[in-house]
Amino acid sequence: MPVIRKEDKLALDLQANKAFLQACFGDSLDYYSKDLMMGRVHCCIALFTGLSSPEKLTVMALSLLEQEKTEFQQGTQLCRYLLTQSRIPTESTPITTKSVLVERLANGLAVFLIDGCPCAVALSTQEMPQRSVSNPGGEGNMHGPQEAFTEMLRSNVSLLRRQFRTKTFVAELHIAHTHAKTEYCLCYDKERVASDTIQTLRHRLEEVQLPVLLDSSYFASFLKQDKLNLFPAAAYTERPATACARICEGKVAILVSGSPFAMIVPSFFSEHFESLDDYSSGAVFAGMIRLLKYLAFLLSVFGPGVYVMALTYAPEIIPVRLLSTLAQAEVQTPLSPMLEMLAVTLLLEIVREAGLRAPKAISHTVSLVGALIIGETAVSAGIVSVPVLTMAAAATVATLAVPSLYEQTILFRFVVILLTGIFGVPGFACGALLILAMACGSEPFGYDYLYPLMPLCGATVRDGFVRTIWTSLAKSRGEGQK
Amino acid sequence: MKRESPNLFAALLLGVFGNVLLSSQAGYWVRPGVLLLPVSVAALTAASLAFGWGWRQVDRNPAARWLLLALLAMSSAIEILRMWRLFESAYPDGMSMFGICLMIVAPVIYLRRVSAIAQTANVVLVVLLAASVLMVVSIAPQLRLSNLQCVPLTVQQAGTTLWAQIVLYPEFLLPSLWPDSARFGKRTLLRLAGWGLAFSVGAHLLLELFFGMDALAQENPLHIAAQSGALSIFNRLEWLQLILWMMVVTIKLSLYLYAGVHLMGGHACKSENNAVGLDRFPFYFGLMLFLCALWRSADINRLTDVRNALMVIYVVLIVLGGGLRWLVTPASEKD
Repeated sequence: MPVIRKEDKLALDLQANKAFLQACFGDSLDYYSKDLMMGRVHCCIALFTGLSSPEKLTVMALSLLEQEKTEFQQGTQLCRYLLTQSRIPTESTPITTKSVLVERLANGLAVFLIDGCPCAVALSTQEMPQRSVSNPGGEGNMHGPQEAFTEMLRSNVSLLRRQFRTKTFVAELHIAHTHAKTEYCLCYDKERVASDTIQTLRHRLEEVQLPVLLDSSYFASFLKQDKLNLFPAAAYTERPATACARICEGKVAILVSGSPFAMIVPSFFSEHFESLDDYSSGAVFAGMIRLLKYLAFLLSVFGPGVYVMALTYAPEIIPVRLLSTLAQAEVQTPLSPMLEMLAVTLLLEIVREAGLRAPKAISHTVSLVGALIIGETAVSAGIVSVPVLTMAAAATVATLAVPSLYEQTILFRFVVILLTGIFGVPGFACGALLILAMACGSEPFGYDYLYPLMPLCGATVRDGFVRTIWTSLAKSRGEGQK
Repeated sequence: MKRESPNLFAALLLGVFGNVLLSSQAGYWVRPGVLLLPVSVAALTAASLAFGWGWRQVDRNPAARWLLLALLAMSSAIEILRMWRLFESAYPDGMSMFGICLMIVAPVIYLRRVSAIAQTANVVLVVLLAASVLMVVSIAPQLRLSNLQCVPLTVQQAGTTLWAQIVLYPEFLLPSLWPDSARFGKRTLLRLAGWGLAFSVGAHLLLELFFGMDALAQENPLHIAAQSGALSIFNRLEWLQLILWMMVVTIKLSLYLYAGVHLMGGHACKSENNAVGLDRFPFYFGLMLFLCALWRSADINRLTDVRNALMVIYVVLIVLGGGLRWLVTPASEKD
């Protein structure tokens, strides 16, 4: 049990407690307090008007208290009555410290301060402005639930609880060590999660010290074993359905107050190539789409590098007719293939970033000007060749097939282009092995990051590179649970 | 799947395959190769087991550790030099020794954990086998049964083949260095020798089907054969082979480095799984560069022969030393 400092304890005197709140929030626009008498006891109600509803307070508490015929003589008597005897839905435990008092107020609860009693009573009268549950904007799916997380932590937990109707679902609330005391929640199935995983996670998150916590992704860096590894330590989803599916697999979803994204740990490489639609579509089609995604990832990372390598160092690998076409195009440009590819790839990234950050009204214009006009004029002016532009565009489009690995794909692409441009075939081998070693060296909570893709096993074809039919998949999962 | 005790068998097997792929032609005939396979496997396994026994007896001897460390460093430099020579022959204007050394050693930074080495070796092994199948298919029209040699064998040919088969590579010694942590089974050495020599026989069979009698005259026959392979989108496939071989060499080097750190007195980082600390890499890279510069003009085949001879002498010394130690150790301490 934590030791409570003396200066943190609530005072017996109502005026002292009121003075504390006044000193903290007196200048705030949304702070509201009202003195009242209950029998012979002086009391005070305090709340934040934007977070807590005075109407709810009236209906839930004040109207009931007015009807009360008991003549309260002492503060402790009133406190005991409110907590144990009245029909008013108060919090079950009294507030005894100033820090908890502030926390409850900030959570949108109304607080009942009582004279002559060193504790306060909290009433659940929250009514916060919030965005309604809407469609997920970043995770397109044709089938399955179409709702997304919002910024309200408790609402997000309820979205999970609604889908996960078992007694084993746990939503653990924690407060981060940030200046703003942001809440986060660990959601998991206590029967399926590995006990060492949840213990390690709790321990690591407990040690995190951040100035501010605005999103669950802030935790990601603290969960990485190898800080030099570029592969993500966690996956993210804005879909409660996806989070629910991952929890069923024994993983943990981390929700942070104010963020509409759940972080899933541990996360494996193959999960970036999966989507909810894989399980709604037919197995053959889903398998084909997955294979296409893997090819798209390889194209987006290695495509431009292979082009630079082939054209600069190993033209003998290209068939003669294709080589003559490429050579003709390259002769007309002043830059080397590596510099051309780097320039075009950088330009495409700038266009993407500008389109993303610009106000919506002009973002389409930015994309149009960037992609079409600059691209067209650069080719016409002979600055870049058409094959380079084609390869860079194909790689960029391929990147979007696996959006969750976007950052890694872009970084890897630059590395591969640079290495192949400078060192040729050995550079390509070095780049490929660096990426492979990073993927293989990643150990999220001691698990193989490449599972179930490598080492090759039954799961590789069951739900890895491709997906098997549901009857077989369900049977294997049932056996796995046993 | 939990990584509780990573298995380095794939890395060792990859190293043995790499020795087969990268070694120059040494007068290896397929027929005696097949016939002598059980003998060679038995001989290699026996030698490795004997080394393992001897190593356990002289485990704490610093001289034994430093000698093996020197042999591993020499082997690493030989592998880098061999790749450099190969790249020089394939792309004469392309590559400096420094560049090749850097490109081979750089990925080792991400292969400093034993689990990373094990998993990467698994992936590269699968890719190597798949690419080998692809390359064999791409040269399939040029593989002719009529190329198989039917001339009577001489004792000298059989002897040369046997000599080429029973080379005691460092991979056969490494399992003895960390028997507890790497989850090796009782038949690991037998499997390693068996698969390695079977792969060697298979590769030489393909070479004989491709080149016929000329197979023995080629310095880098596998590479020459790969130059004839083509897919519709790629005119030649030797680049793919070079890339894979370079990956194999890097994994070999990372395995040697892991063993080297183990020999120097355990792990540089906190846990068993963290084999090599990042602070040691500049020294490691400098050492490799120095050794490569030292042997830059040397004959790689001769250098390899010297390494192989030193390896045999070292194994003999360890077995003899272990035997002596065992003899002088009191019976109560032998267990």
